[in-house]
Amino acid sequence: MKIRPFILIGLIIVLPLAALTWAAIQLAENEQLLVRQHYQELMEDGLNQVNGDVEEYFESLARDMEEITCVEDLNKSRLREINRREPLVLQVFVLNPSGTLFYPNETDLLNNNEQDFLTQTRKMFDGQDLLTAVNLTLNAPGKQFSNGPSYNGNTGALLPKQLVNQRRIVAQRDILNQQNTDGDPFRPVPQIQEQQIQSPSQSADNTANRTGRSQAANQPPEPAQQTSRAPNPQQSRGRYPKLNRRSRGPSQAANRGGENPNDGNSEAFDQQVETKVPEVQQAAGTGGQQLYQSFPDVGVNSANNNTIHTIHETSGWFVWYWERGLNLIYWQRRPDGKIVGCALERSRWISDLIVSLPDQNSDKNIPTRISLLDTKGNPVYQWGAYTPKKKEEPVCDVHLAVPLASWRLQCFAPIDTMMADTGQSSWLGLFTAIGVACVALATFGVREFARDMKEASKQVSFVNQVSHELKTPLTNIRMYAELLDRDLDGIVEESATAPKRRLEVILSEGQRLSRLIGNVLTFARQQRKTLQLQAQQIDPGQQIKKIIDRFRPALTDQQISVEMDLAEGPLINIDPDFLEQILGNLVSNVEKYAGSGGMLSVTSRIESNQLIVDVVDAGPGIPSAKRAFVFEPFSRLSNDVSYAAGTGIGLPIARELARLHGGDVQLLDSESGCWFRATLKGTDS
Amino acid sequence: MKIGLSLMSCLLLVSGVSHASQLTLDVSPVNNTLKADTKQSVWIRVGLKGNKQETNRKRAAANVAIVLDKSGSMNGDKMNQAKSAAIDAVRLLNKDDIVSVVTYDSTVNVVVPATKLSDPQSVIAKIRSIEAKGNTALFAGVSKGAAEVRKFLDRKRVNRVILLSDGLANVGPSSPGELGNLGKSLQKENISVSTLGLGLGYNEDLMLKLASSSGGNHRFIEKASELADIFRDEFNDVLSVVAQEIDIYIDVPAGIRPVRVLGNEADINGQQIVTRLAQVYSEQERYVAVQVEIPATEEASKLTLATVGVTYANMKTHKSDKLSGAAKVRFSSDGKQVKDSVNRSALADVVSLVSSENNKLATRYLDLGNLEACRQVLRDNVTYLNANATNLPADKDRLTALATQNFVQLKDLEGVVSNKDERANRSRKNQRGYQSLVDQQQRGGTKLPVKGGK
Repeated sequence: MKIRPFILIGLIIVLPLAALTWAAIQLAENEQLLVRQHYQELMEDGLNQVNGDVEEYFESLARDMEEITCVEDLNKSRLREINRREPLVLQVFVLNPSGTLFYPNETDLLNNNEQDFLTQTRKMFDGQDLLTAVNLTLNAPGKQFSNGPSYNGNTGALLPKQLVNQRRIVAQRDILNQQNTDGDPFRPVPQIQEQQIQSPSQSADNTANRTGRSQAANQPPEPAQQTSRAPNPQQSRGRYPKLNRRSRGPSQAANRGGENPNDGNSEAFDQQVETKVPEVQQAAGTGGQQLYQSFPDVGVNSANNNTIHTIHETSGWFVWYWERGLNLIYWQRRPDGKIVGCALERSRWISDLIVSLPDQNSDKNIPTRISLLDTKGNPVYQWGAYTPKKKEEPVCDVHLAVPLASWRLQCFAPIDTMMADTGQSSWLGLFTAIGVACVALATFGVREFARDMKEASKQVSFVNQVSHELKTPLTNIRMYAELLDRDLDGIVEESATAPKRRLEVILSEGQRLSRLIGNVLTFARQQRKTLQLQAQQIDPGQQIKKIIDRFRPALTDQQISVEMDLAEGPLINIDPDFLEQILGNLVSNVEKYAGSGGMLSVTSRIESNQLIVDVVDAGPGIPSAKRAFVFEPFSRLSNDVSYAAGTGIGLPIARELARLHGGDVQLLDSESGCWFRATLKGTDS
Repeated sequence: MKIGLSLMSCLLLVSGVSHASQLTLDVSPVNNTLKADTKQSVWIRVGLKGNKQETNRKRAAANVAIVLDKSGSMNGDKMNQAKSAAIDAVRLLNKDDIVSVVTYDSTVNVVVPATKLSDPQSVIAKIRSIEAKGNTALFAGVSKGAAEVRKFLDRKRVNRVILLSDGLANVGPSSPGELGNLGKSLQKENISVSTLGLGLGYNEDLMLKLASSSGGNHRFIEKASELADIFRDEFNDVLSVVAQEIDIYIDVPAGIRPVRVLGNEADINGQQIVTRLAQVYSEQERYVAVQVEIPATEEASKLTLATVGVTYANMKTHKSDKLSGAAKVRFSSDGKQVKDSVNRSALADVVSLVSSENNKLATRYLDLGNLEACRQVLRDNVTYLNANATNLPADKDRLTALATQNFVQLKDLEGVVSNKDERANRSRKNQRGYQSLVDQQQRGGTKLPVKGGK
């Protein structure tokens, strides 16, 4: 009896909790997914930023290399001097247009470095890989780059178009900055040109300072001035319209044609080609400074291809694998078809690359670990406070920019921990809130219930005490009433009829009162677990008839007709008091609540030493929703004041007594009214 | 040579002529008189002596990066000793010097970015806070250290990275070749890397390569307690540089074949030998030995074996100076005359360099696991050095000390059967230390009376 409410309360907590937990998990999963995505994006952004730095590094490296490879006289001692002085250079080499080595040439007396270099790169030069790559670049400019960096297995020519374009932008920016600092935006054209002449070497200067080279670019300025006029409009167009307008001469502006409107750069290139060709031819002998302003993708769309071949000078990266892995070669093709190449000192550019990347101190936000991996996947450099576990999967993984396209950046982060935090926080929060709400609800329920119980118990215990006090006088009243009844039986006179009827009421009400008191006392005893069965041999039919007869006056009052079909059978060993109390409660319910039906049917039978009594009425019945609670103590069908009075312990007591007797009281399904069945098992003795 | 000198001549034009020279050049063949009518090979010593630094106040400012390995293996005593040694060393510097501190484990940390030492206490406090853990990203550590030096790279300063490591490099490039190439590249910028190997766990090949290719010192420090002294020596070296970026061009006339150069990495470009010394310290005698092959020559004729041109950055005047000299010999068929013409001091230097080559051979045998051959080479080397010590009384102490070092290495290998043995390891580290000491004519940090030392 007591367990149920707790199960109920448990359900009140568990069910919503379970439902909400499920919802919370769903939410958390969604959130985790979002958060993971967010983190991944964040980290990818970070890696791309790093990648940008790497790109920038290689741009400045390309500028440095351009400066080195544009060496004027290609004599051996000059080239050796470069090898000896330039920190970035492993070995400078010069290829004849046919692809044979002009320097270092095996037929010469070579020093150890040159010999080592030739040994390591013999395959590359014998196979003419570099030459092929260079020619490929010249014949199909742009095509390969549009598909991103080309990295195919062992070797790869990395086309410089993108790089050069970017370099150009950087150069423009330098000009703009320079002008801004000068504070004179309306400088006359010649001066701008001068600045533009300076700009490449200036940026090279900056680079030189940054990389610590002690000698600055020391190219003679005259040839530069000659060649720089042509690229002027190109350099200053597009991004910086003001500069563009100022720097473009009127004749050049007039020349501008729309030959290829799809390609934003092409017109400028064309123009440049036209203006540049003669100058290049003019300056053919003056050296390499002009290469700063030369563009590799010149003139593919141009009308006059013939002239273009004469200025097919270009430059770019070439990647070759020897010794410990990827090696970089910067090449520059001269107008005469010679290729001046420079193999970079691998240790040095890796070192410089590392220097351009952050160190541990720079890591201030989320604890991550970023690793720079070489072609084989070995870490070259790493930074960040987080230490990944062995074989941990990176959160994101990007390839480096050209020319290091076979290298990768990986970002590791304790993303699960971070997400567990975020996911859990809302998850836990929600969970806790719901939990607290449920527990509060349950506590409230339990306390309400406990208070009700307590109050009811108090009531009962009060009634119990009072009942004890009432029992003796009631017994006396009933005894004397019965004595009076017997006395009146002797009088047959007319005058005795009315008193006799009144006495019957007194007797029936007395019975009712003693039944009530009996219920209360039984309930109290049941609570104290002191109910005891005192079975004796009885004839159940007679006994039942006797009990029903006691109600007959009241039932007659209510105009309830009684049908009885009682088993006339063997004696059975049961407690008559129990039977009386059970049946009394059932019948008194009919009297109280089912008067409207006008019918009471009591049937009894004995089956295998079990007395079965059915009490059926034709009253309003019990709503199905409440059928489950009719046996609960103090539960009444309605708290309506007009509703018949009752204590709410009748049915529970009936059931409890029947169960004590090895049987039960059940409410059976019926079409109308109520159908209670009481079973009592006969005891053995 | 033409180009190198022409480059320098521009600088000379600016600087003017004749000022207090910081170096003295001496070009001496081992024999002034050679046997006539026979093909032979001759050693020429090209020696540079650093003048004495006048006072400490006039020294060139230093630009030093201290790169400390703080990987897990350094934990405990080593780390504490290293820190206090670094702190002591920082105290040797003054406010015009530039110092930076870089630590590395799996990652790199620039603890103190390059800065003028105006507040030594804050630098010292930062050194104190270093704790050891993790892996060893040696390459990146040196790279970042060099980058800090580069921020204030200046020909007027002594630019140096001082690396202390007790372990193998295991993150990033980590072969001796790669580190050697990095060192070579740094030397082109006038940055030297001194490598201090602590304990028996480091890779001596890598550390030696890095140091020798960049012109720095390499030292084997067996016990952490020696650290303080060695750091002080190293800093004293840095503070006593009198000349740096020393380019030596040795031109050998046609007909004479340059064979090899000992004492420094050199390019032999046909008839010209080019080599660069990172620096010469105060009172140091720095030399290289050049072996040339001479065709049979008539008696009584004279021959110039080599002409030498040197350019260097004078650390006192901060100008470029140049020196020149030549090695000349006479030919005689008189055996006694030939014998008497021996330049003993030059011979002693050549002997020490040859002993270093022998020592390298011993190391190679040790690596091959041929311990018997290794011991035999060392034994021969001891004999060789002792025999020459007897003949060259002026250099007796020095050569005997070198013999002793070889003997110590030999002793360590006695009874050892595998090159994995700890004693073989110690011997090998001593060998590498020896080779660096002799080839670079290192001064401090040795118990040897070294030529030109303090």
